[in-house]
Amino acid sequence: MKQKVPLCHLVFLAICVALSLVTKRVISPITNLLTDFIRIPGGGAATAFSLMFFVIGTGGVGWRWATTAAGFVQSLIAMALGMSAYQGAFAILTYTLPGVVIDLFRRFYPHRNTAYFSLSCASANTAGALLTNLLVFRLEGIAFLLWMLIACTMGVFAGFLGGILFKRIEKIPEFRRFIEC
Amino acid sequence: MLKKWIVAGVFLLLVATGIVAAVHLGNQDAVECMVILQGDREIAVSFEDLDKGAFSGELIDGKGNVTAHDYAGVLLKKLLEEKGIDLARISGVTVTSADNYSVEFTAEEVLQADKVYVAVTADGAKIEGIDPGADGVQVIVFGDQNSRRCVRFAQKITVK
Repeated sequence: MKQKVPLCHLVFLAICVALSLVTKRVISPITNLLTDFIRIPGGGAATAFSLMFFVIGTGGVGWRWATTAAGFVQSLIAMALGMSAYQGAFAILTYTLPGVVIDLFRRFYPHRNTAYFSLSCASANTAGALLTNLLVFRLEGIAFLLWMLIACTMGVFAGFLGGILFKRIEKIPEFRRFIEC
Repeated sequence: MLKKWIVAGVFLLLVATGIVAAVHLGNQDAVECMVILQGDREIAVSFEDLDKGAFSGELIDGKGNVTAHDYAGVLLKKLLEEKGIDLARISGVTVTSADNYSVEFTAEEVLQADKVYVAVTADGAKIEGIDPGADGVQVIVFGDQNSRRCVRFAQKITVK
């Protein structure tokens, strides 16, 4: 079935993609302080805060596969700007997969409550971390377990913050008028 | 109610992460960074084996410029002794880097005090490994006319 995608939703998603990329760059040095100390790669922790804007995006727009599209576009932007680090072309997969997971999560849990934001962000970040490990880092044993636990914990935390943020901006009349265009 | 469950979940995840991080860091204490080979014997060397104290001295580069540096590391002679190598029976040592550059030291040079060191930091900064972002090891030789035997990315010490 063909869906109608309002332009205002695309603009909102584009803003979320841009904020997501900027957040990852800004938050990385801070999360790296923690991950360097415990000697695991830093990506999983910073990506959680980046995905926070994806769950906010899906909170705002209702059409299917919106976050998948946002993730794919973000992967292209990240590669074009040289932000894909060691991942290279694999960035298309590792940036898109969390979007797919958020979309699937929304399909099976179509609510806009704290549980949705926290758990969708956690599952997306954990899936992304798992794929990144499979394709790039190849961590094993305790290091792998720690990498996944950090991705999951940061995902829940960032999703929780995303939920609070979304509920605040949802109350702004101008935002509601814009998103219901 | 839901928020309480999520807060409890985060708390449990944090506790689990803390425990796993502690175990992970405990395992990291013995990260192998070099290996000493003597005949069939293969002895692992960790960063903790090398980070034994500060030393400093002057190096001469290829153009004859003399520069002073401060390092943290260990005297090669002391490292070999600590790893159970009988220094009275060695005839020389070969150090090989991760990119297969190798240099030779005579037994007399190795046995000299303040001559051949293995360093893990230089002028306060960690020495870089061959992989981006990884820590590494460098052999420091004082008294040479150039720095050619100061092997970067040192990986293997072969005792003859």
